[in-house]
Amino acid sequence: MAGITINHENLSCWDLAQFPKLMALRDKYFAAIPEMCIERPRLITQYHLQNGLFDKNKISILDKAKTYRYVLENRLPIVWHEKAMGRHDVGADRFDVEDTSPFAGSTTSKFKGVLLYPELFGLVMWPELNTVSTRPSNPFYISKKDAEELNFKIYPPWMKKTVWEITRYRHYCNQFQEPTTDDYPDEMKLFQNVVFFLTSKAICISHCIPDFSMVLKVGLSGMILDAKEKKISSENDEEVRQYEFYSAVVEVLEGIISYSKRLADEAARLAASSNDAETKDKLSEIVNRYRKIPESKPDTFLEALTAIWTCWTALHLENANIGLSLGRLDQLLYPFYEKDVASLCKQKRTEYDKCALELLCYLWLKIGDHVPTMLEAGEQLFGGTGSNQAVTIGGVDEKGEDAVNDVTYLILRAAELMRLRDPNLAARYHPDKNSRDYLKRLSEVNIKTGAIPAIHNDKAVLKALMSKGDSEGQARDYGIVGCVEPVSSGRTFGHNAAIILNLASALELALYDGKHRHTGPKQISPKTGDPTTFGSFRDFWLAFQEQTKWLINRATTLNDQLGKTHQEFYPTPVLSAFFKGPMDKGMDVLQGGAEINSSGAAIIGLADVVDSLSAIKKWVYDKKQIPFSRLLEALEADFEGFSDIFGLLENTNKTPKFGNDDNYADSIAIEVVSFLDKEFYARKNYRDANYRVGYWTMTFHAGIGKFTGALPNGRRSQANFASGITPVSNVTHYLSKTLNSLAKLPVQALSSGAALNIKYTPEPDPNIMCDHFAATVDAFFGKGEETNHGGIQIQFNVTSQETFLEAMNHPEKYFDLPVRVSGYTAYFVDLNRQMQKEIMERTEYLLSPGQAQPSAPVDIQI
Amino acid sequence: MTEGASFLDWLLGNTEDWSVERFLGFMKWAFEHSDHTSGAALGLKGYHENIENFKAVYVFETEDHLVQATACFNDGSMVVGTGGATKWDLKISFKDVLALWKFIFSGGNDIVDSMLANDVQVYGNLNYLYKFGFMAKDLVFQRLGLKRIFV
Repeated sequence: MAGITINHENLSCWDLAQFPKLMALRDKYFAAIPEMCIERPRLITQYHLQNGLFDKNKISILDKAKTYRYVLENRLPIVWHEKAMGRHDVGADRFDVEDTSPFAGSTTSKFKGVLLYPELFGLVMWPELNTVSTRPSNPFYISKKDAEELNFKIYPPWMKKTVWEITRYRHYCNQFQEPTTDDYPDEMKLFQNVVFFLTSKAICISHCIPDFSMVLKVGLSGMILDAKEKKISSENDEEVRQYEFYSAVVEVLEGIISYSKRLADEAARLAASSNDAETKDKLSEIVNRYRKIPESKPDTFLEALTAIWTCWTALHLENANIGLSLGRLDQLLYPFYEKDVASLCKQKRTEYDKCALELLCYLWLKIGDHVPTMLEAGEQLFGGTGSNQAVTIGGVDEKGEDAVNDVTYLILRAAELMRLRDPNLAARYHPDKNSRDYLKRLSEVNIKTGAIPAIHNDKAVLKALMSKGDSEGQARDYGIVGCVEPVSSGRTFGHNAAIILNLASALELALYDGKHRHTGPKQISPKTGDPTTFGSFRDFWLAFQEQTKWLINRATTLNDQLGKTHQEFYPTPVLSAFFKGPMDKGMDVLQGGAEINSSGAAIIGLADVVDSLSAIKKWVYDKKQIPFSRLLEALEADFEGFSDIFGLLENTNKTPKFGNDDNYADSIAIEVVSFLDKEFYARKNYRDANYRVGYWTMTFHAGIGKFTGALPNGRRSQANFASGITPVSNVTHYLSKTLNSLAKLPVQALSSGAALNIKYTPEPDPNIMCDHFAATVDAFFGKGEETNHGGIQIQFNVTSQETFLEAMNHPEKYFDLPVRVSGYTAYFVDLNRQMQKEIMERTEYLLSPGQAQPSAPVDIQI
Repeated sequence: MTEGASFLDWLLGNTEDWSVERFLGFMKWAFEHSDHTSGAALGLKGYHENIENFKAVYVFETEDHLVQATACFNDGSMVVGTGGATKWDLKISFKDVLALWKFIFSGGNDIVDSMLANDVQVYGNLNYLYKFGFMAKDLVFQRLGLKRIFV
């Protein structure tokens, strides 16, 4: 345990006004729109064409490593960005950036870039190339010249070589090797229908936390030495494979060193041409640092940050960044900070801490220097999402003791000042080990920022991970990936978001005997019987289980097929170099090289499904008051003309609902999450490990809700589902009831994380609110108790309804208003109207009495 | 085939006249005339480059098969036919012609929107769909300067 020595009074005094250049850069960051960057796709395509990779039936890890080395050696070394693009759709143009960041290099060649991966999902932007710069929602700028290069040169060679297309072609061709309608894969048809499930491997695979411990300990040169020592003579197939793997690691690590040296050279060129002494000094320092780092091991806090940042940009060149996460930065950085401050006097220490805070703020801007590719229609499903790069702080150490340190507080302050959606800050909190001061600080930052950070319960998460086979040591070193997914840092190649499963579709298939209202009269799944003929709730429950199993089978099958395509065509030497396990086994993480090889599924629609099952159980079978046939008629009519039924179903006092501390409904929730956990865990993925289940929904609960008819819980057609693991809005007026319901869930069934969204009304006295906030978290997380409960995570929106309305009317004033969606943080003004409405309609609690605020329906045109 | 404004009136004039072949026919005309004086006057210069070294067969049909059309691209040429094809790279099955027209004329990436709304089923290599989407929108919005008529 590291003692807390940082001066909190100083820390709270420093704000952005103390760092004018940083503040100016942050302003430019928000003024800039993302620009599509074609540097990576251009270089990747060139290398593939020059080396015949498009003609190969399988691509080796060494071929891929040489490809990435080529990119690293040929991409533009940018020390400071000079220009950014304003809102092109409203006539804004390029403006000067005046970049002063101490961190050279960037993810793309743009100040705020959109990375394109033609081998993954980059081609979906093809139809939009001429319109994306001026589209109404979240435009990306691209010049006419770059659009033409994509259209004529870059995209065409990839038409038969994307992960999705290769998978489709390999698995579903007729005897002439030509896909036909009849052979078109069921799994892919279901995917294209969107309402059943999505599998994300066609888009990304790096939803995990790399391991930076080695680069911080021995530098890349030490890692290269290790790989070279492990390269042994290739006698048999296994040795050949390992030889190739270690050779590939050497290639990519040397590529990263080459990139950092070229950054140093560019900084030297800029220094030589500058007439300003201060600028010259800054650049000279960058020259020296980048000539050393990350090739050699870092010795200082700044050098450690530089090593992580430079390797981070290289990781993005390999794989689309959707939730690639940095892990426990406070734990990684603390030894360097501790060493730096060890001999400082009080005054120097104060200056140092201020400088360290500024460095972290600059790093925050760098981490957010890119956004994922997003097509216009995708805004419906993912509106406003960033790349969800989580940073984790706090919690316990490898011995199970308090791990909160001075860097934890520096990171918290940096996140509070910057208020950026990326990185997505996740705070671990152990109610029996971490201090009350720490929890109060987490509460305070949430109240001040309105949404940052999410808080994860160490007691519950450790139990959840260990129930799936993680050792105690592995579990104690967990970090958060993407939205809310806990994984052992640098050890779990878990791809927790591999599958997004819409549970409401399983319910729909059970209600309609294998058909879905969205896809019309065709039979989608096996017939499980006409529910109007069922004699008991158990019959319906079994039908629901069968349909769910069928969907799980289809989704995991597609996920594994896509995974196999990655194994054979898109090996991952960069990620494998930064992971625990591959260097020992001589094996790519895609082949099972990591210590832990699980996959993950996220469930959409839990609360609506549980409440629907509860309604069916009570009114159709227990009370026998609503015949199933009449219930189906009411659903078909979206309850129009069925006010009697609607009145029963939506009334919390009459129909038991999850989230109201009512065992009738809560026991169904326990059954459902336990069933899903058992079914997923029973399946082996393409790396011979199990699937884990989580409950976060990003914006899918709104997007997919739009395509789903009325449900038996009284949810109207096209309405949003409840988000994450959160109960349906307004099922109770009492916060304690909601938290009690959640706490009843078995934590081992939530091993891939859960997002509980709670909305608080800002209160006049922040100190009192802070106390109540902290007390509520402690109670929910089971402070002092030895339980198995599901209080695994909680995240907040602390913004008034009036502010949200004001932000909708004047988005220019609220460009940086952060909100918690379902897991990730977004800027409220970037969300589509449906998602904004969903957030505003969430139950809003006044913390002091712990009761819901009376609220009028949100009347917003969508 | 007419040219200029009168052609556009004919192309878009009456919703009852909308047909897949008419649009494909116009696309073919645009490719063939892109480097001629008549095409250049319409802003079509260079449009032909889109189908150089491009081989693909597209089938467009309504769910009831009442409307069927094919577009066959072969190294710079385009042939439009009525009826289906046994071999194709991409088949797009639309609920009705209006759904197809929404895809072509709505401006954004609305084929995905159409898939979300279950208005369309796509079979085959989706990347051919994206390329066709670009060519259609490039022609209609960029080169002819039409505004979105569906949003």
